[in-house]
Amino acid sequence: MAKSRAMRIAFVTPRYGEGVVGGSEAVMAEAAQGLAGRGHEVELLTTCARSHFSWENEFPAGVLQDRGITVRRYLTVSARSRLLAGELERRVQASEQLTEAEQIAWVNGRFRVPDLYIDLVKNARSYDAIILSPYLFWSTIYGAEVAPERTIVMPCLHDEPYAWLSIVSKTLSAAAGLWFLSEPEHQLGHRVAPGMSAHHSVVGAAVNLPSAYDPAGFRERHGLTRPFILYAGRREDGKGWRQLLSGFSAALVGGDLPFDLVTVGVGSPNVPEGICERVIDLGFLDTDELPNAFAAAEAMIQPSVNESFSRTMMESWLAGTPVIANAAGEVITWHCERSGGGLSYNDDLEFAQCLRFIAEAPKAASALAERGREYVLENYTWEIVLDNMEHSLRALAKELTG
Amino acid sequence: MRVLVVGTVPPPGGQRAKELAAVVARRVEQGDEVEILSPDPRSAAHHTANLESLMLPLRLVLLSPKFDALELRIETRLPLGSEVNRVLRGLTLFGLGVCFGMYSEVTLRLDSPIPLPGGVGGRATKDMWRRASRIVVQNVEDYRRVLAAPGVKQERVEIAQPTFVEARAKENSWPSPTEHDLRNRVLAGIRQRAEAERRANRARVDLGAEGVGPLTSAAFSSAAHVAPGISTVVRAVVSRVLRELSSR
Repeated sequence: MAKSRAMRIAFVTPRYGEGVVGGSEAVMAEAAQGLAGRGHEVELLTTCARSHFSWENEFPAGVLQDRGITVRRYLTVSARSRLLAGELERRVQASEQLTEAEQIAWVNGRFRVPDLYIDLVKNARSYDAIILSPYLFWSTIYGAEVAPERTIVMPCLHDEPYAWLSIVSKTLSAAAGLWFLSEPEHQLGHRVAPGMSAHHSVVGAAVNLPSAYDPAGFRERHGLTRPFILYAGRREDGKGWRQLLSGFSAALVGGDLPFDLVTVGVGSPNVPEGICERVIDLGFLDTDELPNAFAAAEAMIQPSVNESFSRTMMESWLAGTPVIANAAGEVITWHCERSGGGLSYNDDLEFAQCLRFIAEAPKAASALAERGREYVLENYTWEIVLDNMEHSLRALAKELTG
Repeated sequence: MRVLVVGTVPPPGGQRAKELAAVVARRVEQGDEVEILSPDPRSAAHHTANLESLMLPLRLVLLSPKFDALELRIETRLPLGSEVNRVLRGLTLFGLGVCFGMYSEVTLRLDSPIPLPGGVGGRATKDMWRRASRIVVQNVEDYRRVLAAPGVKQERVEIAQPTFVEARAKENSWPSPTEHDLRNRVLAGIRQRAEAERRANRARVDLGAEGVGPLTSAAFSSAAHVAPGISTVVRAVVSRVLRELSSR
């Protein structure tokens, strides 16, 4: 009987809704909707912000129902001193030692959501579990303190300076449970927080399988007349965008590269003048159109080393499109090796050769993509991931009820 | 479809002639009835004739009732040699524009550098570009040049893909799709080729020649969103590399 009891679950994520781009945010939203679809009572607590740069309140505060879940939006409050926040950010990025007080000031320097915190304090005991993600924001660091005995953190860790702050280690160690998206992230979790709860697991993440793809229509709708490689995501240094532009410019030097670079997502592409004609920015695509972009591309490039899962790789493989990933990214290389379906490059010359392979051996490239597709279907469907999450939630609930 | 292919095909003619032969082969595979008209009597063509200057439009007019489609390779002396005067150039190209209207489908294949004395622009070429259903160029430089000419519609211009034979040769240099350890074999090929290129670049730099490489971060600080010509790709990269080398 207890096994089938519906649970009351809170998901806490800094951003949710239309126009929000981010892996953690997407997994949280889809997991919340998926668990609601399995009969659980799910609330999602989030801010009114859409942009993770400005944290401005763009959505209205309040409560709404969306795809089976109750969404509660709270206003963000911006940093008290932008100057101090900027200086602390610089020191964190430089891996300087910060005192705990400085780390707290750094967390407070981005955005705060006091109303969310107060509601969580009031209602924490009404939830069987509170799931927080990702690790480096106020909503997680503060939210995890409210009811650690029923808190699960899905950190989405990357090996970056933020991860090594002592407040992160404390947050991960205090939580009753942890959800990791991949085995390399799990291993990193042990290094970052050696004292973390035994109740942790690699639940994975999932992507939706579209019913059909329309690559020809996609090319036509966006005026793409030449074959292209795709970058989908945030155009930021932290995601390897600049390195990708650099590698692509080097690959063009040979003169016979048949591909344009098409990019979709948010952030300014800031393309150098010399390669403007070969880089096409389609901006943010809605969820119905994005799968078509993957299907229309000759290959998808994942230049980011800061990935805890990489949904775009899975979406690309699902669409039958080969993946070329930065070998310095532990998680993405792990996917490439485990699936036997992804290529990885160590520098610009290898990147250029990967593109040459895609251009010259399309059948072999498709065969690799097919292995990737099998890998996604075997490991990362929502059916499998929601089973993992439910199993973990039931174990936590059992511990709570003694 | 009855197709007239005009241009030099092998035995003489080099790489571009082989490509035209591959075009013929593709057409035949598709079920088209193809005849070849070549200016070179050594070509394995159905017909040979003098196709210089006004002779080309004249031939095309005469042959037009027999064919639905035309594939014309613009090559040196077909139809224009470098010594042609402006009047004859204008008349010839204008004439081509007129006779293109007599075919339901016209593909223009341009050698590189584009062998049109006086360039691709001018009033005389306007009808020729406008009436061509497809214009196939050899590289991005020519692509940009042709797009700048009056009457050219962007969606009709494309860069030549490798011929079947070339593509097959290139494909065969990579592991077969059915190989057991495909990923690792492909990666080994990628690393090997990259290493060879790395060594070649080092040798070039050692010899004092220009190396190649990615844009430096300085390029990004002056990033713009509106593009000028693609030729700047090479210029930008080379100038950055030179700057780097001189600063060492």
